[in-house]
Amino acid sequence: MKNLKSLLKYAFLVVFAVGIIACDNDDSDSDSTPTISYLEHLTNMSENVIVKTYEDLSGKGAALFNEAKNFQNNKSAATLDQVKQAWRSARQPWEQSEGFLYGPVDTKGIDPAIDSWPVNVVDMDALLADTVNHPTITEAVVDAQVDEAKGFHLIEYLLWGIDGNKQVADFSDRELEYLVAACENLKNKTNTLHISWATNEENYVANFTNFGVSYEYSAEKNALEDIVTGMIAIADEVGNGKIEAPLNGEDGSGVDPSQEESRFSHNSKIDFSNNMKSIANIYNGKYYNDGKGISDVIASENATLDATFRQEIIDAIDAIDAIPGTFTDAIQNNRSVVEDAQEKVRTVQATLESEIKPLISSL
Amino acid sequence: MKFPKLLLSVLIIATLSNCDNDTDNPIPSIPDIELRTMAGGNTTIFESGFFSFDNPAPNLSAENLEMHLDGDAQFEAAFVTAPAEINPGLGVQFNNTSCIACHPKDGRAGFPSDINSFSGFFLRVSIPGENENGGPNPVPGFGGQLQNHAIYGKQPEVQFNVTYENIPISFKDGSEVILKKPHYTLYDSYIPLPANAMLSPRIGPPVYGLGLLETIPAEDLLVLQDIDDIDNDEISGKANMVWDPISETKKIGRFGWKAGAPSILVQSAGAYHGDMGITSPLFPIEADYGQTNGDNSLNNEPEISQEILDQVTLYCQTLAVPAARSLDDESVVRGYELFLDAKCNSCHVEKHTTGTNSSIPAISNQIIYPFTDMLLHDMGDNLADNRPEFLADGNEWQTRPLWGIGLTNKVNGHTDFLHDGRAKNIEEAILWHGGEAKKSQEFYRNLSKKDREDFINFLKSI
Repeated sequence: MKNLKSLLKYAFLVVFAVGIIACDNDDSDSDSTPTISYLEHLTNMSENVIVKTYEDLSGKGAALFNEAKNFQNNKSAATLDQVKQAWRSARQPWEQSEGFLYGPVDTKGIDPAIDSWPVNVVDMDALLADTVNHPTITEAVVDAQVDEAKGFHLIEYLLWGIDGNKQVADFSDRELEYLVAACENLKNKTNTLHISWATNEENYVANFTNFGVSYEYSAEKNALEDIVTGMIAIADEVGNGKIEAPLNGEDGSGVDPSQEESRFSHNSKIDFSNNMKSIANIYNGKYYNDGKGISDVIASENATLDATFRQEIIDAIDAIDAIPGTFTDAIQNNRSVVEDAQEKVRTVQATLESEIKPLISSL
Repeated sequence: MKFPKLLLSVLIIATLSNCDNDTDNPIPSIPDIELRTMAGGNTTIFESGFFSFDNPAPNLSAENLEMHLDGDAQFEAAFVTAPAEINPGLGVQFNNTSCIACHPKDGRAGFPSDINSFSGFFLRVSIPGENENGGPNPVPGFGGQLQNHAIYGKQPEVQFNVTYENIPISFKDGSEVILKKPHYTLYDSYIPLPANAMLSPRIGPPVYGLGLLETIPAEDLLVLQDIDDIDNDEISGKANMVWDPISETKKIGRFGWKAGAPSILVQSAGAYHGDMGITSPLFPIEADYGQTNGDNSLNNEPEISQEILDQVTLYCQTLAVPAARSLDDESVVRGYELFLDAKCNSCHVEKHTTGTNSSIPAISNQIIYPFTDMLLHDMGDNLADNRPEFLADGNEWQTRPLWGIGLTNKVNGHTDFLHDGRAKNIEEAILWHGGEAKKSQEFYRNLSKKDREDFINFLKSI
């Protein structure tokens, strides 16, 4: 009796001790230094820059559709000019959104649906001619086409023509149908893009303000890294693609005007400038409102770097804006000014890659 | 008196120190963490966000980096109907208009909600027998691949249709998952297909790390075979020996869901040819040549040059592999234990060392962790396409590399896996495993929910 009791007491102590030591699965954090929160920065950039840019794009996409319908119903030089202006106007927030080409704009295939290049002119002409299968060209008909027969550049081609000087009389009723349908399709896509991010709709913003298993990023820093990588991507695209290919050809063998993407409307310079403004907007956390952005993160770690980089973006924008005349003309007749702009864009990319991104990664 | 007390306490301690492990191999940590983190050796990049898959290997020579960037631009080029100033030559018959459309951000395509929209999905086709090189026997009037799009005014070869059959799978803990087995049919074919035509669904896989896989010495893969299951472990990996049109000999197949292509060059040229209708010096005659809905002119000029083909090939050879993440996380370590206990590494071989590619030192002599033996395995009747491809029979598929799969949702906004995206997440992909993998699948199904979560966390970390 006595032996059993003490045996059990002994056993209980063993169990108790082992229970504390052996099965302890507590994974304590390796250090408990509190990290700085960048929630304010991320909230501002996602809500006040990204969502607002997409909101503008959606609104201007709708305005472009209205102007297209107006032109269709009241063909005149004035209404043609209005729809062209509406195209340029819608182009601006789109190009200013290319500094953040992640999330639904890519995963939902919206970018290729609204900004594919080159235009598939043969298919476009074939659809225009096909009154048998499509007595009317509706938005649904356009939506079913390849990406290269819809979107900004298709609309641009219809509005300006291959030489950029299409006249009111040159517009057939059929072309107007295609124009209106393509503008409606673009309006729908830009609306889809906006609501995918809007906080009161599909709220992709939540991935920049919440972190962990149910969201895209496990920590704030990872979201900041993607934001910076997005800036690198557009700087690279502008400097080494959009400027380089027309300036020096795809294979570097010499100037190639056919490679200019917004050639028909002569909007390329403005496009490039807006691309760099996209970097500025997200970096500075400023679109309509001025709030916290990457700039504030950098400034708190290295004020000199922040000041330098902010100036580099301004210099790149100014250099692009300083290209005289059209980009089409400048790549032939003012190459050194174009090359200077390209250099300044490449400087922005280099600073992002070699200094800004590593600093963010080290947070 | 003292002895039984001591014995009893030893027994108690022994029982308790097993805790809740029902595994034979408890491990405190994953071995070789530093090496494994560099999943692509020196081609590894520390990216885990949206841009994880489309970076050049950081160790490229200046010359190769320049060619990689040229290839990058070509990979994104959109083709249009000829004649055109830029990128002419699309079609007549095609599935999509650019490489990137089916390999978005160098990741994998999601299964389309509308199967006849422009997507990364298509069906391969053949009739019984073999072609002159031992490969799939093409269907007269259709070839070896079905295109569901054509340039405006031409009729596509076919339209696709899919219906689903529910396959309920139970776990030991009583919970259930319903797998959806696709059944593919065709309609609106421009001419009738023969009744014995065999269809095989395919979807665009990721393109990073391919140069490393290409450079694993063939002999190192051949030695992993066990065609007759001599070691009696129910695993019988087999290399696919496939036609190489460059050397005009048989080589080990490495790329494509049934390992039907011997090299990235052949895979890329084949994709240009079959997916977009773009001819190259390697495949200079249109796939739809001679079809009433195809190209009936013999052009002298290939639509892309050898230079462009080489640039795109090098691009696909030199994309960085994203580093493994959180290998020291407790759940991930536990998941790794279970991965080994389930014997997944019998086919998803963890580690290789690449040989030499004299043109690309960056991918040469690298220790890599792709988690594939690159061999064919019978995966059971539910996954079978019933369409042979060289030595691959109707039940066999190539072991897929697992590196980077955890970043799929981040990059591509979906988690559709396997050869036609039928698995809607990693767990479903595991549950589809049958045939040689049946026992491993059963092991997984018998795990507790917590163990299954740990298992998945491990797979997401590599």
